[in-house]
Amino acid sequence: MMIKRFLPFGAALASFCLVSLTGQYAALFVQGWSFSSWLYPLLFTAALESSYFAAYFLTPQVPLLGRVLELSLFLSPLYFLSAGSKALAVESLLVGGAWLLARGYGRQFAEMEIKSAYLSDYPPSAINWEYESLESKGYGAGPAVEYFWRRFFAFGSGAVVLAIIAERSNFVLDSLTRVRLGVLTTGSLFCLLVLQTGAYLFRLQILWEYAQAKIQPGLSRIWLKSLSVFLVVALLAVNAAPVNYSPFSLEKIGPRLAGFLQRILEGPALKREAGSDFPAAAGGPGFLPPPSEAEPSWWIAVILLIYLLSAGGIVLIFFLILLGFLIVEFSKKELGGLRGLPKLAVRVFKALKRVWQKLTGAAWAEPEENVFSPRPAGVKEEFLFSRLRFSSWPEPRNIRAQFRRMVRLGRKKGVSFRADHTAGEYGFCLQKKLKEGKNNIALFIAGYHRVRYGRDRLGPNEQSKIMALGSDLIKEIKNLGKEE
Amino acid sequence: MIQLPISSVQKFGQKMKENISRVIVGKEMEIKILLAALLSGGHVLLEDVPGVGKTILARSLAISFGGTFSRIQCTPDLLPSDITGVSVYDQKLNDFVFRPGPVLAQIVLADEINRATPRTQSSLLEAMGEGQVTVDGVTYQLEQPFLVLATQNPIEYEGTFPLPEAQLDRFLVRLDLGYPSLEEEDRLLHRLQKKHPIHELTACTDPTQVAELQNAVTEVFVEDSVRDYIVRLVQSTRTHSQVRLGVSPRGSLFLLRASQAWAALSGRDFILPDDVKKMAVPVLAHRLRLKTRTELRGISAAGIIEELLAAVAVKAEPKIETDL
Repeated sequence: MMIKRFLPFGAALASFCLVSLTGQYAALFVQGWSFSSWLYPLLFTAALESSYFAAYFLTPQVPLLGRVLELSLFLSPLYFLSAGSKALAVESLLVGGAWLLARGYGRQFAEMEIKSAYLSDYPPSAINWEYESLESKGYGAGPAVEYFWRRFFAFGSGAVVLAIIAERSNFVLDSLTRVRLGVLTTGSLFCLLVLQTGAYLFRLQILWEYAQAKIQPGLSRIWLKSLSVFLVVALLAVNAAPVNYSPFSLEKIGPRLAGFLQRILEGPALKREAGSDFPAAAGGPGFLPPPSEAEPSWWIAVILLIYLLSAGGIVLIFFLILLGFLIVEFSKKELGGLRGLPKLAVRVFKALKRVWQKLTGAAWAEPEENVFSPRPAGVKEEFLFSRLRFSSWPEPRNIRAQFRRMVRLGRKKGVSFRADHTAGEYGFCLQKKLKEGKNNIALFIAGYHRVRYGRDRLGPNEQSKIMALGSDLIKEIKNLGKEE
Repeated sequence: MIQLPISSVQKFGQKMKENISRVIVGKEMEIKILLAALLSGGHVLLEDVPGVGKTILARSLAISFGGTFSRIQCTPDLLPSDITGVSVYDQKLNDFVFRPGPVLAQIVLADEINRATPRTQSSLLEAMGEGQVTVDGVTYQLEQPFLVLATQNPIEYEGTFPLPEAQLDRFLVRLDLGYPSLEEEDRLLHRLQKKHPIHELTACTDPTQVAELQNAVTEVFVEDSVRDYIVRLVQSTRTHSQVRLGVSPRGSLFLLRASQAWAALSGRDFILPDDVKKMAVPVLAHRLRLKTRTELRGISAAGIIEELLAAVAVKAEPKIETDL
């Protein structure tokens, strides 16, 4: 079951929550405007239509007029619902925003599927499971999965900033607004995380399909478990934000925690007898009395020691991280000769970096020379391909993948693809070798040119015709030399 | 202005080519390059030995184009004012009146341009670069489209002044016509046996249409990798060991424009690396200044460009490892 069919729904929900949340805050900040309840269904419908349309039907060939009409489908009811009031502009912005936001997500899902065609360039056994492959990096565009991360961080930060501004502005919020804000903030982050993890799962499913992997049924359960952990973290993150919409906010937890700690620290003082001559009032409330000789408070010394050690440890770790960062940044890759403290600092920094990369899905992983390399490291392409049977490879799924397959097959048959070769020149070289496909190669290359360098995509009929030509050509190239 | 479709550029190309071919035998590639230059709004330098049809080709294009045409026969005693025009005193008006020179036409044929002195050659710079002429402190805008077709003979050195780099850089393409093939020469003799067909040649388009087509050509789509290829190709000329002066940024811009025009003339609304390769020698070769040592070895600028075309990777499919 491909998760793609559900992802646009998640995208629509995320867009709806985010835009509704923005609208709620706008209602607080803009005097004389209130967020009408009829906006909810409109925002959600616009987002839902936009994300599904972008994920399944949107192509560059859809004319601008069509897109404008699509958007006006949702904007025109606004005119009647808002009865031509001044709020129309703000409400239009919100609907347009939800529509555009969902469109961006939907487009990414479609892009992920398009980019996956590169995987058919390689035999199933050569597809690896590393971050590069998972994030579909290195296709002349930004990695698709990273897109979701960026949006998650940007929108999550935006929601928190809005909440803080509203809190600092001392707005008087009724209980219903508080509930709405709480639900929408939680919902936004919840949906964004679901989208993020869903996008990873989608990419994994694509990889599984191309790698012809048999997946254990329990894997989905593990996935769901991981997702629920993520969601709990999200809930905690939302509730730890410095706003008091939730019973678990810092403002409520903070004083209780402080009181609890103070009680522990003031334990001996509270136990002191009432008739003691120690001047409690001199230090004021919360003053810690000096340990008396008669009753040595050795455990306070232990606590202080632990505290000092912890504080010292934290300072030391921070110092090591900073030092490690500076060394790594300035000396780059010449780290082999390091000894002692600098070596330790670099190790600590790298460990922290690795942990961070794992937590953030390698969002800022170091760029590597070979960003997407489905073949094992150190193995030359010629060697790899010479050992594998092309018949076991998945069928190329688009025209560009077909061309790449032709090049690889052609290379085995002695038609080399030089660095200075254009596709047209290579087609000409192939033409000399082929017998039946002599005429077809020119047609195929013309189609390839349109796909590779053109502004518009081919229509489905045209594409299937060219792909049929491509399949015939691939077969003919495979059979080259066999008859002789 | 209404945007014309790319197919109309191809039709225009066909029509012009057929018209010019009534006079010029063969040379289809050269005619297409000439049309590409016209559609890119660039100027053309026709360079070859005498008698291969440079002037006839330029005149055929000018007549087919249908706009205003003037011819400057360059000689060492030609003055800048003979090109740009001069203010003369009109006794009736009791004032100076500007008498426009031949450069204030839409197609200007500067025949044997290297026979004019550098000072006179430079009087064309402003017209070619900015589409305007300044005389006595007054600036006159040239009517668009404006095209300078210059011819020169590379063999004769006596009484000639080589074009300066700044002047050469303003030419979009330099074309070598070369000798006709046996069959072409035979057809040529047959055709010119009685009278020259250029006298019967008529215009097959008009300047307004050409201006619209020039506009349409700028809309030809350039994919990022093709733009990158152009940049890398031009960059490589600047670091080549046998080159003293590489191609300027104006050269890369001209290469892009010429490739766009070539694609449009081929009926495409996007350019291919093949278009860039086709236009590279005509657009870039005359911009290179080779080291003296290289010139003495008989290596030509066109040869260097060919070498670079074979060395710079096209990156048609970045995911494929290429063979050397």
